[in-house]
Amino acid sequence: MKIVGISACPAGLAHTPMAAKALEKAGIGLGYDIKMEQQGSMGQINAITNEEAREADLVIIASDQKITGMERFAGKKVIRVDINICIKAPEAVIKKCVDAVSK
Amino acid sequence: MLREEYLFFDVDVSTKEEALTFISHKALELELTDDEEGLKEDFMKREEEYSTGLQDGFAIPHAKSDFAKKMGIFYLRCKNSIPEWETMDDEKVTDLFALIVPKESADNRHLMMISRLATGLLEVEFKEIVKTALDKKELIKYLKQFISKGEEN
Repeated sequence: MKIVGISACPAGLAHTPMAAKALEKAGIGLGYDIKMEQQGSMGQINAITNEEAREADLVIIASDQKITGMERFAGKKVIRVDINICIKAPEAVIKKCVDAVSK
Repeated sequence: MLREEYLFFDVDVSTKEEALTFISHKALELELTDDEEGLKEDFMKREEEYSTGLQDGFAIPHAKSDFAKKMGIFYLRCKNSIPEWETMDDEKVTDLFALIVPKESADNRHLMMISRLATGLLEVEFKEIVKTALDKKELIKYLKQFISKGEEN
């Protein structure tokens, strides 16, 4: 299972990197190939390439903000989640999202 | 951006507003802003989006503000908890990292350090060391080391 995702928060200072790191760590722990892009105060960090987007089985958007470059994920299963939950319970978020696309 | 004068122990505040007033006032004294009211407003506005309370008693209030002249990271350890500050695990807030960032900052090196600090708050060991540090000199040394380590893990 290949997972890609994007995190973004209002100021782009704190929650964006926290959610990205939390999800990456949890994803690796669960044995998935995961890459999180951050859209924060430094612009795009760790950007998902078109190729990575194409190969992804699941796209997690940890944000209620406007995300740039969503066209990369056309035709993909995209799940939006609350960024706070991603920081609080990253494993549960990934498990739930994986379940949702595996059905 | 991170200095010994930016660390405050035994801070006597018991509401979110008092904490943000304290932070903004110190920012004025330490010449990070010329307008403490404006800066405080910007902190409040960010809190209204959703609470910056995290877990294990930490919160990370922040403002990207026109009223911030320089970037600064404050650490406050409160004498009492701040029960009204909504957190992810319902633990009461006692420890705060406040981020003061000029609105149009393109200082990526410092933004990266803030990012590193924020992700530190996901780590049990980091939180424990910060909360229990007794000596400001030691704490500042630890924080500086921690945030300049970069994203190697």
